[in-house]
Amino acid sequence: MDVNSQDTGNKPFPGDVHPTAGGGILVTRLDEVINWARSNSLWPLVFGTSCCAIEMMSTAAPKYDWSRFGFEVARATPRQADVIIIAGTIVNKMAPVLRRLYDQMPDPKYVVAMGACATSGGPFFYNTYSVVKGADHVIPVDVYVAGCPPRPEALLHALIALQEKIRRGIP
Amino acid sequence: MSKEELKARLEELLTSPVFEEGAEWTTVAVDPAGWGGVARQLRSTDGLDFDYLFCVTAVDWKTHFTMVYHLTSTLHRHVLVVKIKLDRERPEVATVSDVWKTAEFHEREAYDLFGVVFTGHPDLRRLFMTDEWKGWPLRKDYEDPVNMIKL
Repeated sequence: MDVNSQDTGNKPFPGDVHPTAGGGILVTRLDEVINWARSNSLWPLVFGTSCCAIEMMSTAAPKYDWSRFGFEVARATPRQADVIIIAGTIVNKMAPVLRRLYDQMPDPKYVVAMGACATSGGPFFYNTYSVVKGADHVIPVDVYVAGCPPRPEALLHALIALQEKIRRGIP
Repeated sequence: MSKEELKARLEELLTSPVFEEGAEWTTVAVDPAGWGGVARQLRSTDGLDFDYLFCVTAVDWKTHFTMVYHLTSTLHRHVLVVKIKLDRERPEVATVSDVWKTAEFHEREAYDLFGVVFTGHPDLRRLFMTDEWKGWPLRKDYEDPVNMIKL
């Protein structure tokens, strides 16, 4: 069979079985399949420290419904979670807890810093004795979301951006 | 009890009380020296029955501190706000944790963040900050070069 006969000009779907001249050999890159599978089933950790958590809950609720993109299996234990959405202010007292939660998550793990507080300390950047000026002082962050708090659309965009990063094997 | 009736009752109870006008709730200034006795009277006097202390606040005015106590009665549903002016250098006032049990934690919070000392408090320790923390973070002149970025 001619290999080129299937070339429709579209991006090849990862995991496709391509017939080859030598016979039916599975020609694909295994890590692409794995990344594709991973990106479509990200289990977020139930974690929220302030008002951003309300927007995160709204994103999970029927109106925005993040299960359309594979985020619906929110886990209350870090041992079963893939992604932690830092939804809120991280104070100095919370920082070691956040670090421990991150350490307890199995690899591969991803982090979304949601909102101004998790990104930089936000409104608590100046003249505050208690707030960590950005969650990336504590754990590495993959995607930052601007806003105070960000709208659910912004969080969805960030999560889709994270999926895209995973598919391309960037993190 | 209406505001006027409450004021009249307080006129009988306290010697020449100073009321603050223009607030939503009846507000009265009390001398720090007599506060312990006044608190007990407010709670036990028939018709007043302030059995619920629902908020304790400390305010740093730079020149002095003000302690604000919000009281209500679960029987009559009237509210009274008591304000006590304290010295900036030696902020000390009698505890009311023996009158309203809830004050035990409220006063620990005020001690932790403002350094107001409540004499007679059974367990005056820090509440939110770590035990070895130095200084009173919510005071206006608080400095922390390690954790704070000044604007």
